Amino acid sequence: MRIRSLQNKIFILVVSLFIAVFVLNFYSIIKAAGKQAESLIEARLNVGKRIVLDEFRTEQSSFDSNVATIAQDWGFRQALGQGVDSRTLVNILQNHINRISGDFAFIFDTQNNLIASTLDLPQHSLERLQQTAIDPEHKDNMPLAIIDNTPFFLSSEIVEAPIEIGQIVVGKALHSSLFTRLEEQISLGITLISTSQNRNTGVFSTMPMLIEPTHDDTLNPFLSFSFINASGEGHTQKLDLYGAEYITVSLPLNIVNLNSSQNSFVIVLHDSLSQAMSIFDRFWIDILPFFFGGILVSLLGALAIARDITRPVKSLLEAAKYVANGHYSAKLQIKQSGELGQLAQEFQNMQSAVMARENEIKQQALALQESEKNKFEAEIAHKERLLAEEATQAKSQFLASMSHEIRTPLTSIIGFSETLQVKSMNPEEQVQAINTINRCGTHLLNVINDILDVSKIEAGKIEVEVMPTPIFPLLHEVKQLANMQAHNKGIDFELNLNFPLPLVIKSDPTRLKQILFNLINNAIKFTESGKVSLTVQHGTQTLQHETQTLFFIIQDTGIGMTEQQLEKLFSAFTQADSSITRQHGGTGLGLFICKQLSSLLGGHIQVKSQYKLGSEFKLSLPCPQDTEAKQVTNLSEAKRLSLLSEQAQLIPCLKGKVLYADDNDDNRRLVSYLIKQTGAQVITAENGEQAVELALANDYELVLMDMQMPVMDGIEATELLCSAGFSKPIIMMTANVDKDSIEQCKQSGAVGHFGKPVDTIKFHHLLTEYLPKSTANNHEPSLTDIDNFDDMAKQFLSSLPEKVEYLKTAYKIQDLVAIQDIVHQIKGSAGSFGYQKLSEQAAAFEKTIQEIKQEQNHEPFEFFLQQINHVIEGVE
Amino acid sequence: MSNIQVLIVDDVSNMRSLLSSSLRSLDISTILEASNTLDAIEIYEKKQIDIVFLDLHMPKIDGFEALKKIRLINPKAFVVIVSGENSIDNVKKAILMGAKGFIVKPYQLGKIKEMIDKYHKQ
Repeated sequence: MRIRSLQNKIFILVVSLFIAVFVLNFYSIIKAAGKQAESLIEARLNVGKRIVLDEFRTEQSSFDSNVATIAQDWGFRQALGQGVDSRTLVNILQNHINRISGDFAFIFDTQNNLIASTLDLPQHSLERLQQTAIDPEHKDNMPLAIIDNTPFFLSSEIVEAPIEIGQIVVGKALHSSLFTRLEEQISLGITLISTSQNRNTGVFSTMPMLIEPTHDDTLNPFLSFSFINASGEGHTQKLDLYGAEYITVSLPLNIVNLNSSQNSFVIVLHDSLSQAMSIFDRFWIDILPFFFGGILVSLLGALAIARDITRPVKSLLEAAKYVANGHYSAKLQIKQSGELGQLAQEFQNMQSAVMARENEIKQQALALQESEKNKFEAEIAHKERLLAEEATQAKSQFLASMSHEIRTPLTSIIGFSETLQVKSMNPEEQVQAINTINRCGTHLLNVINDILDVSKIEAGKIEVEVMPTPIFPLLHEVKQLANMQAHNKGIDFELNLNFPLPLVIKSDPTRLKQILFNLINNAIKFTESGKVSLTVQHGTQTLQHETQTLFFIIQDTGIGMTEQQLEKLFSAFTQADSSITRQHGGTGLGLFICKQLSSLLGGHIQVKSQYKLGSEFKLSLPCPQDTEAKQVTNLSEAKRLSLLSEQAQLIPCLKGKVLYADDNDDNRRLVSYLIKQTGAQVITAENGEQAVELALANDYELVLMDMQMPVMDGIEATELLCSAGFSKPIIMMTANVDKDSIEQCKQSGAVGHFGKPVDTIKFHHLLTEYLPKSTANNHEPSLTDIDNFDDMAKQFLSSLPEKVEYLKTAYKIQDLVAIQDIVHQIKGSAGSFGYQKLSEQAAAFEKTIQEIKQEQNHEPFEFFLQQINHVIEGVE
Repeated sequence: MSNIQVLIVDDVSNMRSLLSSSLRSLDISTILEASNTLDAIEIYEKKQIDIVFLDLHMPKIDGFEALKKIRLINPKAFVVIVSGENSIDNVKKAILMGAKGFIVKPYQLGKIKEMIDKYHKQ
């Protein structure tokens, strides 16, 4: 398309150039020809003029000599001198002029008085005739006189006899024969015109079209015609005669009109322009074939040039297209010299250069790719090898440790059991052996549990559940356990609370407890004398930015650690020394688990230790300062809310292990507390599945199962346990105390049910029923203890605003299940913490929840919220 | 205690001996042992077995498969699973497949006794 367009353009350009040049040439040729023709005509006219003038002069001079002859004639001179009468004189004159073919004659005396005349002329005509003929100035100008439209030659001679006696003036008519003869001679038209005030009157013409045809050869007046200008004698002029153009030249003759004083006369020689132009026409026709031929040649030339230019351009373009498409092999078919040839050559050079360069680039890219690939592969291989090595190392280390950890107690077990087979042992030795076997077995179980924990951590299966966690009950629990362990070891345990401390922090209580248990357990394990202390304080620490932090500092006066020991402290299976294991027991996994858990909770553990002097473990947990969170400033403030102090006396003394499964943290804490108060142990599970796993793997005297739990509810768990042959009593804890629910409990295999909210006294009765009594008074309520119940109640209160917000949101989006959950929780826990009325309201509201949607009645909900707010504000 | 026949299926001989001594302490005299599933099936078909204590983790044919086969022979078979794997999935699967009990290793003698009691109760 573009090629065509380029070709067309060039073609049109060249053609128009050619044509323009041709037309210009043609125009100038025509112009020159016209000029040539004009000058030719002019020349002819000038020649004609000369001939006419010469002829006239010849005529005039011959006439002059004739008149002179008459003037010399003696008879005439005598007659004139003798003064004969004019009549006779006229006759004599008539005879003379007849002889010289004159037409008229006048004789004047020396005073210019007319003596005789052969023609009657008016006085004024006579005077003009006299002036013209006699005026010596007019002598050279061949005077002509026009009388009644007839031109005459005039000649005058002085008559002397012997003295000057007068002057003779003779006129001779110009006959048409003279003009005809002249015309034949010069081939030009001759016209005599009388001009007067821009009006021309033709006197005589040889041009047939101008003359009225006559029968004789006398001059005839012809049709008048316009005449532009009579002056400018001798110059050529264009004359328009009846629509035909003529070129004229006027002759310088002295012509006198004797009829009128105003008129003057012009003799006009003329040639027809159109006649001359007809030569032109012929010239035109002659030149036309050349013109067309020229144009044809120019067209062909233009085409050739256009093709000459566009063809190589086209080839270039095609080659460029090939190159653009990545084909470099296309060779240009341009065999041309000049710029286009050069261009093609350069293009080919460029093409091969580009080809070469691209090949180079391709090869480089390939090489680069290859090397990158190799590098990458090598890197991957290296990494894989490293990983594999690491994994292998870790695995073999793990296996070695496992093998060590497991074999050690097993050796004891097998060894001691073998010794038992030897009958020679005395009973005391037997008891010792059995005790050792039992202890080693328990240790083995701990090892395996720890290993399972570690593998869970490593598989990322442990999830922390961050929730508002009241720290005081948690610390109390920790303290109870630590006290017991420290007491067994014969050392002291101290809990230091640096107030103010937050009442509630956001954390996972189970994991936090696990960490603290582990750290304290470690500290006690490695401390032979002195004390272990747990200090809790609130402060800030600067990591990336300043954060509010809760510090748990565990200090001991134990064996301490060397720097090398510290380095490997938190790695799995790397207890400082294997001898330590033998001496102190432990799996070597505890600190690893602690570290992992603390980082899961967003915190970290720092260790300071002095060999043989003791160690300090510092657990830092982020504790953003919530403006609404209550700060407890002293111990007594924490105690003030105690509702349970009076009932402390009534707590039964029990022993044994209780499994309690409940998804609600509040309830778990409360029930755990209530169980621990009695001296019995409690293990908690968060759902039915955990409960089943725990119940089957351990020995519990009693299982308390919440009915509604996520993952697996209490009914299903109970059914499963019973199916699995679990024979210990299971009590279903439920807020649903309707007949159907109770029936469901029985069907599942539970031995009984216990209604929520938990009534402390009733609950202790229940425990007493299923747990063995303990003789040791190990639960003596101490006033220095943090009052857990108080804290829990407080925490329950502080969690209420959050629950209100949650309820509002759930209500807004009509999430009935969520509302049901919350209300059920409140129903279950409010009463346990002493808010009986709220619990009842919750129970009442729970029944109407299903109707919320249909009724569009917000009153029950608003009322319930109001009740919660009353509790928050302390109105109830 | 009672005149019942018990079959212990476990690939680990120590485990078999331990369980068998536990059972003997419970006055059960007829105790048969099998170290693999095929043997167990053979014994179960030939003898009048009251209670089967079945390990889950065994080479080639595992305890679940053994449980299935035993229940094919006798749908009312009293099979107690004895396993170290107490994951809820295993427990659920075993119960769904008709196990009458699930004892987690290491176990206390009481658990075995509970199972015997359960057998007598049914």
